[in-house]
Amino acid sequence: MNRPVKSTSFRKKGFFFSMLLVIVLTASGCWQGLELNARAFVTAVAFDRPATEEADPSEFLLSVQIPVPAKMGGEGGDGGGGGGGDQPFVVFGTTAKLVQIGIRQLQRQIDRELFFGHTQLILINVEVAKTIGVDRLLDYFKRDFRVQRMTKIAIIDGVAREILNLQPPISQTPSAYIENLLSAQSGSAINYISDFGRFLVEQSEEGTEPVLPRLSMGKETVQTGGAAVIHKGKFAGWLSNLETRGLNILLNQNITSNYEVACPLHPRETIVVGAENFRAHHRLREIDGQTTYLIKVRGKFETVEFSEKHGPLAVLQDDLEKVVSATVQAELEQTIRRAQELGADILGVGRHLQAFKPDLWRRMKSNWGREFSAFPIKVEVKMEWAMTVRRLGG
Amino acid sequence: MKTGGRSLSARQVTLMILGYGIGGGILTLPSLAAGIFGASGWLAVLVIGLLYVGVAWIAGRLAEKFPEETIIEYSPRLLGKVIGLLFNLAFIALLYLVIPVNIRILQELVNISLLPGAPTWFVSGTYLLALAYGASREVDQIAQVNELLIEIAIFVGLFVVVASFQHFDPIHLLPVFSKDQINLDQMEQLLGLTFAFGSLPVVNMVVPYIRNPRQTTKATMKASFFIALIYTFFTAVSLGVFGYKEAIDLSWIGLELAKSVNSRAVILQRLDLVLIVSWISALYTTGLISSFLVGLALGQLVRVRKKAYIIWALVPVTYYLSASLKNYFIWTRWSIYVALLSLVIAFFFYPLLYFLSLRKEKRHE
Amino acid sequence: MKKRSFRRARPVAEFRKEKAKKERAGNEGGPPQEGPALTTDFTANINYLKERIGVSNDVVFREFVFPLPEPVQAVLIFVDGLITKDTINEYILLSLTTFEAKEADWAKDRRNLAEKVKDHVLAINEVSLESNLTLMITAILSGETALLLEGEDRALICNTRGWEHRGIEEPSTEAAVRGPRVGFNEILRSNTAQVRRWIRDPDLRVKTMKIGLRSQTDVALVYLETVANPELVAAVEERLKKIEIDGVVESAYLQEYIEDRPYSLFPTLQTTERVDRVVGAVLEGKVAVLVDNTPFALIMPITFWQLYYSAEDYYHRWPLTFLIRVIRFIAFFFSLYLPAIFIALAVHNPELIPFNLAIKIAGTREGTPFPIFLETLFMELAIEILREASVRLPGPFGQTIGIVGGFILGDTAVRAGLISPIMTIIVALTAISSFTAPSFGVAITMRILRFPLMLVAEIGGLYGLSLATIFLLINMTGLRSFGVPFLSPVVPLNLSDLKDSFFVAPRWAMIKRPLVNEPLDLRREASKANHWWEALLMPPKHRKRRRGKGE
Repeated sequence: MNRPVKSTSFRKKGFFFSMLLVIVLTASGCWQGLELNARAFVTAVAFDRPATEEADPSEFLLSVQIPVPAKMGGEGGDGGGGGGGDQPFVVFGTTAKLVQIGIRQLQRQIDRELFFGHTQLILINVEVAKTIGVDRLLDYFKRDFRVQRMTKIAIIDGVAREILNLQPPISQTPSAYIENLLSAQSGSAINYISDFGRFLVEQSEEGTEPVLPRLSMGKETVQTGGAAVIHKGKFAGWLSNLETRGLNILLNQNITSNYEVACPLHPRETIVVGAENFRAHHRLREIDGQTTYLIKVRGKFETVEFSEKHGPLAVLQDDLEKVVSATVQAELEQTIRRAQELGADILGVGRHLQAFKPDLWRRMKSNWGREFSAFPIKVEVKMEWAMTVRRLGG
Repeated sequence: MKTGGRSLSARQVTLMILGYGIGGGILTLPSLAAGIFGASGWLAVLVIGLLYVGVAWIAGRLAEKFPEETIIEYSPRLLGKVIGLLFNLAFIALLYLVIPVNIRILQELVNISLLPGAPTWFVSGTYLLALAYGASREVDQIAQVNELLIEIAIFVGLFVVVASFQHFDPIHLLPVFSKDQINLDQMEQLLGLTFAFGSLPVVNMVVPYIRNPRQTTKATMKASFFIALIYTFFTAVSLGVFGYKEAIDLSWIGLELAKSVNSRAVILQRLDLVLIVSWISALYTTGLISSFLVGLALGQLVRVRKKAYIIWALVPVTYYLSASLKNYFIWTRWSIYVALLSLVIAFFFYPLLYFLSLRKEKRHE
Repeated sequence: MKKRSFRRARPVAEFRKEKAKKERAGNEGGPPQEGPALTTDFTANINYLKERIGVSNDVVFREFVFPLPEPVQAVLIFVDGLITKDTINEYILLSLTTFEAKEADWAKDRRNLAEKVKDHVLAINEVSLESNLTLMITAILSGETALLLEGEDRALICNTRGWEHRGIEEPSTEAAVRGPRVGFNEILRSNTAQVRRWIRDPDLRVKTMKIGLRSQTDVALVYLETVANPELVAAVEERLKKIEIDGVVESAYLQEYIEDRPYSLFPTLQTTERVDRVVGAVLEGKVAVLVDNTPFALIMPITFWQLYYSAEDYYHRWPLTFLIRVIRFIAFFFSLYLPAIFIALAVHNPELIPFNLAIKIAGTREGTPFPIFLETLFMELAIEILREASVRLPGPFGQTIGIVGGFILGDTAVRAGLISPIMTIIVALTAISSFTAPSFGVAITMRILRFPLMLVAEIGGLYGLSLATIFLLINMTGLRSFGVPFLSPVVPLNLSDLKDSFFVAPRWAMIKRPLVNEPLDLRREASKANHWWEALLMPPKHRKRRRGKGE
């Protein structure tokens, strides 16, 4: 059986069409193709109150940080640290009512096209977050396909723009520096780790409220610690450092932290324990005929500073575990109290109601903020002394 | 017309059905499902998918009954000349209407991500030319191209889905069919949901090329099962990562899924564009197979030996149609028509034809 | 077995054949088989020959007398330089002129003298009788010696071939770390002998034919009769026979005639200088075509992936080969796509490049005069020119060119700010990657394809690249090498053949010959349990069953 040979006229036609294609392509030129050097990579965006006092409360100061490629990339050597005042980046700012308009205004000052594909950081001043709302400010970035979902967002207790101008101690740009600070790798338990994607998910969902990390200006550096609770798209209140740590434990954020507890045998001595491996299990339980949100937390700890004077290990074990559990429990309860105070369901109680008690949820849905404040939430903590034998005795 | 000979393996047929079925639908399916069924959209997808496995059995059996012919050839014999012709026209319309929607989806994808600002004529035009160029080949070549592209697409897609598990939260998949979340008033959306599943016509067209026609039913069922599985998995993960509320808002949820993958260690900053690139190949297989089948079916209907002429002749028409799908709403409406057509064919005509063929067989005995 | 349909060589070949026939119809001489015959008229024969070939100075007519009772005029005709003088002097001339007729009874009767001389006098291993003048001339011109006797209408053709030739050397185009250090040379006989030395199978067939209307080049088909698919052999033979070209200078002349898709950019035959490669191919059921006067043999059929295998792959242990092949395919990807992807990302989708890298690239490009596309294009062109220059220049100069071009030109251009350093990295990486291709033919294809891909990337970004890749794939799936799909065993998938593709299985696990070649004899191993420890590991029952199955 001989296969019919494809006729040559056919091949010619294919050739003809591919030639046509090439001609069409070359004739059409390029669209939106921009050289790397024709783009201004925006690494960080900051929102602040306008500097002038009499400014319209619905206006904000939009600042962008743009690295200068020649100073950062360029001839290898001089890139490290950018000392000598010659910063490897520039910061531009403008006041506007809408992000889109602000960006257009900025574009008028900058000869290269603002490009948000590499934006690592969006910083929002707490006042702006309170009045205008995080929701509205981020809307533009939500719609730009090039903005990454991994962009970090932080609420600034201070002037956000100052952070953009900061001279970072190690990294090249403040944005890189702060992004590292806000990442899990910084390992701080009192730092809430979130990003744009997570924020959007928490934001959109019924029965959960988003939390964003807090940044505050130190003397020459920035400090992490604490978190901002967002309620209905606007800033609702701060969580303190310890409350943030509590929240991290409750939300299974996989943290490691130290606790100072009184020695059960020698009340005046303190023992420092390092706790880790927290697992929080969220349940809805009927307790005394009332639907209660029960969070069971388990964790392990290890003594960090410990000596013979605290007593024999065998005797100490039970008591120490109890003390540590109580300490952690108190902290978690404080976090929950704070959340209920703010009326913001940062724990996802509503989400659980929705999933497991849809009827109850239907009743409470419309007024969830208030219902949440009164909703019974219980925490049970059980900490265990891991006793991995690194060193016997003191 | 049977120039290709019996050159397709059962595996290739399975992949062709997969390649035809998995295309643009998968990128939008989770948001559609979430829009109608809320958090349990994934379950709905599974149920619909399994329903189609049943239809796949019928389609496969029907194809096996006539191993030498395509459905275009034997349907007039079973249904009578007039109804047969009408059925054939509807069948071809079903195959054909997929193409403009397919082109439109590609256009959107490319415009929002890869080439913002590229004109329609460029993106759709080049894509259409590529489709026609590919579809005018012989069946074994189509099968080979499909085999390669769909495997890459599925592999990359699964990689992204698995990688995005870091954000997965099972609570997002609950509650199961809660009254508050189900929005059955958008019945047409439900139809749109089935758009992604209508890949069975492939088997009734390619059966004369299958090396061993007795494996047809098995291959078809396998393919439908895979489609159901892949869709369910994908929907479940999308909903689990985003929650159904956010899922409704995201029009290209698959891309957002890729965007949320933290891939610092990888040489590329983001996975979403890689996903698009591989997904272009998935889209292309859909368009390729349907263009090929349209050429084949129309060729048999009007008795033109060279299907390539038909395919090239249809290019301007297809371009016009795809250009007339101006915005999201128009083309979702279109995909609903296509879905409706595919529903009628799948759930009415397939069983009918199968029944008729059985009766005919009996009469012969 | 499914009947394989071999595409006919090319419609054009048939067309040419008809055309050539028409042209030849008017010509005198006609095809060689129909040439004039020898007559019993000795002088007429000599005159004819002198007229046809005696004009050339290198054709020698040595006339002498054969001392029979009644002396016979005789003449030896040969081409100086194509013969071994010793053979002619000692075993033809000496034995004929010093022949003592008295001692031989047969000499009394003069009938059938030629045959008798062949049987009794000539001490030459290969002697035949020829009555066709044209064939006789061809024989003389290919180094044989013709002996014409007075009154005989048949000439004796003695094999006296022998000429200056290159010895067997290691092939320079396909170097290998491990493996035999022999390659083919320009002598067909010695080449077929080398294959024979490797395979002492009586089934090894060496089928010779002459191709080239004027050059009359010897071409040999080499295959294993009980392994190679007879349809394949027949197809190769048929296609070769259809060639009617004036001369075959190199095997490439044949290659273009017998390829399935002559317009394709990809070579669908493999060329090699290595004996071991031909032997390996023949053992896999392929057909090799050896051509006189060139060390390059053709192997068919092949798949795309095989163009990326080197002979050496089979001499390393399989994990190493696996690694090498993976690296080679990565390099293949680089050599084809790297500049294009760079352009697409830098121009259209910089968000895909990690920030630190993007800013570095932007920094190095600050102030360079050309857009990325042109810069890449210039650099790629420069590299191609350099490569060509270094190939043309003799050995040591070639290296100098490489250094001058690569280091000095590149470095100065970067220092002068004309091009960015990142571009030199990319272009260099691309060039180096393209050197990893073991087959020169496919490396060239990649080099050609790189430029349109760059253009497409500039215009259509990643979208354009994906579309171009799809185009390329459609094209490649359409290719066939003697009926074998070009991309198999990957598509259509063939699990057994996949053992020798990017993935490499241990040798003892490759039980079957590549199935794409559809060999007659499928198994290349006697039984599966033939690796010594596998036999130990298998449970006895199982072992028995396996062995029974294998034998």
